[in-house]
Amino acid sequence: MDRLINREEQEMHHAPVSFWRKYIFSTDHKVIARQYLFTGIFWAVIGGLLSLLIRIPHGFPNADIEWLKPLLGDWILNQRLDAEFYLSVVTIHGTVMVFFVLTAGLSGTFANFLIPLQIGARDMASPFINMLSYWMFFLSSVLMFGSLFVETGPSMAGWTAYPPLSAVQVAVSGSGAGMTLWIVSLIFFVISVLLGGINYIATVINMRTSGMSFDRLPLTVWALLLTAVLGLFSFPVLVAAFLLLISDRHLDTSFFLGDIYIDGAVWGTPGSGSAILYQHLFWFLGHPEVYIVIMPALGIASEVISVNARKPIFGYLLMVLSLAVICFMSLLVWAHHMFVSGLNPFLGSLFSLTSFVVAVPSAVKVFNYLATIWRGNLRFTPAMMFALGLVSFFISGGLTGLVLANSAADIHLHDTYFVVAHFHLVMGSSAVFGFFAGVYHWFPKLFGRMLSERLGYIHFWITFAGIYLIFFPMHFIGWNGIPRRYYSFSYMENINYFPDLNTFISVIAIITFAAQFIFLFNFFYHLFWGKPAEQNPWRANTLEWTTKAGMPTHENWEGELPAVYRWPYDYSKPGAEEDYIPQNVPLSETESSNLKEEGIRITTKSLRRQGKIH
Amino acid sequence: MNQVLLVVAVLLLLLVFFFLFRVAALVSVYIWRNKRQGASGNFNSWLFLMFFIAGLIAIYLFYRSVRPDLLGEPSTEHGYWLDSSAKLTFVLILIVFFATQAALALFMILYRYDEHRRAFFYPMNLKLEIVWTAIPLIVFMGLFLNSYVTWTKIMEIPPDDPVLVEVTGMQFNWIARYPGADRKFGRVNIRYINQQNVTGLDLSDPASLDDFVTGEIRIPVNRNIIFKIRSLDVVHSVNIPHFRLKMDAVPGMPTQFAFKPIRTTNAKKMETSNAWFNFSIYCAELCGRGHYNMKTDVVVDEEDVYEKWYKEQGSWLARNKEYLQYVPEEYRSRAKDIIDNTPPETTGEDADFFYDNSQKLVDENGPID
Repeated sequence: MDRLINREEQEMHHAPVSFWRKYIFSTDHKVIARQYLFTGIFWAVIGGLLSLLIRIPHGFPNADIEWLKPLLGDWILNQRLDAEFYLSVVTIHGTVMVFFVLTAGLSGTFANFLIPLQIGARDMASPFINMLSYWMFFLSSVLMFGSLFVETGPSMAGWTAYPPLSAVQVAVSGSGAGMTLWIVSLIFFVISVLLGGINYIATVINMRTSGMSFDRLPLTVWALLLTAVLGLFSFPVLVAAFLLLISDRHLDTSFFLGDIYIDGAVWGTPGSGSAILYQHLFWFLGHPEVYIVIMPALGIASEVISVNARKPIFGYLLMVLSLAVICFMSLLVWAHHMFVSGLNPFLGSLFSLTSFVVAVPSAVKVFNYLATIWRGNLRFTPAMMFALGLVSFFISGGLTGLVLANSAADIHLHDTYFVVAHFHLVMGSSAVFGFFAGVYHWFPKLFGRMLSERLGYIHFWITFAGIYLIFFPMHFIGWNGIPRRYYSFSYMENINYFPDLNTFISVIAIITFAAQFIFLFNFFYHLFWGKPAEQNPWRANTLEWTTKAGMPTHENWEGELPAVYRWPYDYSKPGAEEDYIPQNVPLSETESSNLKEEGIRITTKSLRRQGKIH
Repeated sequence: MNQVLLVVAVLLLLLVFFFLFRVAALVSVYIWRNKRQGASGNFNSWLFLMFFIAGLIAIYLFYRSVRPDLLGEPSTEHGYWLDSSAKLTFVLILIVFFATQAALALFMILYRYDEHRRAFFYPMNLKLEIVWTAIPLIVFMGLFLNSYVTWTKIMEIPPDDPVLVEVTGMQFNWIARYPGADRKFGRVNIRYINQQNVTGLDLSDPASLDDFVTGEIRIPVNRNIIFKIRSLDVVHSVNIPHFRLKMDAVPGMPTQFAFKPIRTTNAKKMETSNAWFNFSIYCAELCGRGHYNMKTDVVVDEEDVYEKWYKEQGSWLARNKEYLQYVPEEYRSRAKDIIDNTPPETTGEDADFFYDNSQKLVDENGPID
């Protein structure tokens, strides 16, 4: 219908827009994407600072940090970080990074920005629900930020918030008001994710422009779509767990409280609840969540690698299928976080099996990335560097996942620094690199200006080397059985916890964190003073580059929506003039390069038969 | 010392930035001279290859230097099974790691941008896809089978007369309960727990009369041991890295772990030439403020030493005679027998000093420095 409205009418329709409606309570998906981006960056800085606090007691156990007193107040005790506050730092770092930065910041930004632009829609299916989704996230952010200032401390039960620690308020001081705010904040967060998710799904299914069949969707859109589907399946279970937890905390129920004796009193009803029940409910979200974090990053990498390799993504069909298999399998692996929780050993081996199986589609994706850059014509833009860095991290971290899927080896490695190294590489750093790749790649569309490539390379190399230097040695610390979430290793005199190595890691962490300011400078400086972007600076095929140069207008395309005639990966097609053919170029204009089969139906055999490859 | 480190870190950081800006400036000159897209390809792809090679060398040197500091041979039988299963997985992933990362680095060099060249249009090869779906699937299933066999063997509960120890976690300590002379645990009940009856011993069960509770955990070498694991408050985890042992302690749901130690603590002291060496439980599940110091030593003795120690331990009831009133009438004479036959408590050396109200270490003569 939009297509029938001409430009003047649209402008009349949208003429009087106040500042508030335009920039704050906007229903424009691009503005909402930028809101997600800025909020995500804000939380990433907080999360990064917290990670430095985590490293202080390990890197510099005897350092006098009285100078942090103005910031942390009474949490600095005798020139040291308080042992209980340390747990808050760990908890909030994990929560913020997983949910606020890598779910909202990554998925929220790029799903909002790219879905309508890449499928050729003017906006989301429901712009209002979309706005609601952001403001639920904002509310959640405010509550979480507020919890940092609670007198008894923010939540201290880890991002997993296992009861009874999270349920019984005398167990740890953070399980008071801090925990209440934490839970309520995350419930709003889940509402935000669900509102966003149904919108993304509805948009992709219903709002594709003419010709944009499912087999012509860019892989970013596929990844974001499947992420939203996975979120819809798993996030509600987290709310269920949290509601039961709230009930245990405030209504004297005993869902998760078994035989608990703390502080001279019995908590809950003896013989009734099960702490393990919560773990099942939590990990039913918790594991899919790591795929919710990584899948959009993988989608971004697919697009960025293909564009900059000037080559179609290898095995489009398998890339989509592997995402779908990951999506499905990730719902069946949750108990591999619980091998040593007292689970029936037979169940343990079942979940070990599914965990090995879920590694297969991930391996296929890596091989496809490698096949894509094989005999490509690689342009190393900063986005490309970050995407290739993602592949490198995904390999390194993914492989150690096989060790942890081995339930026998996991007995020794569970909850040690080995796990910390594993997930920071495969899920944390990979997803962060996906985020960076996305920002560097789509900055010309997001803000209509170009980022500095030179600063981008510097940022990439310090971060890339830094992350390997931080997390690679942690595998060894973990093999020695050093548990996570320890405030101090001073009691581990009979196990080598590598004190010098820990200092080294902390120093590198500081450097790597400092390097992020190069990015922030690059980002904010060029936001205002960057070189104006051309219409299609990367010579890419997808529809967002057919909008006008710089930032797209409110309606995305002036005049009619573009129609789509081909898949998005016609790069370096034999016989074509340029090494790219945008999706909106009709086949009739590219007679010389047309094939008997197009898009995902192209096979090696038929290319060979047509004499296109040898 | 730390200030010095900080200063060094900052200086290093500045140095790194300086060099990077320098390199970047040179590169920009190069780019300016060869004004075309992707000219930075050379710089970045060579740097990536160098990073890969330097990384390999660094990993090798690093591994060589930390090898003596690694945990070493396990001290339990199942530890060897676990280690060999882990080793198999490690070898395999290392091969894949080097192969794929090398491919990544090589492709970046070989296929860097050249405006006179075109990428190879090659969108799909079903055969290849099937091959690299099937091979990982087969390899991973092999790994799974290996893991399955090992895991089932470790998790098996040995049938023949194991040594039972109940290990209970609480904020922030571990205590042990032994079944006493009858080698049978008495019932426990959460309602009976208090500061004195920490494990909640239910004295109406005759099997509980000779159970003894101790802060030190001792086990005999070369015997099948079963840890019956409980928690009083929050989730803890019994984690003994030298034993390759880990099992959560869950309130309200007893768990267990069967194992067979094959090295005594003394043997390990000799091996490490460290007189202070001890196997210890380090809590592995976040449990609150004292999570990081929730540590208790586990002493592995020769069997005769262990048996002697076991017999010397007085039952909990004998050490808390006032609880006799809770023993039902019919077992009371049996309970009295047990109390009468219990040797008097030997004063351990750790009972001589304690913390006073101001958390100062004191003994009966006053503060200790």
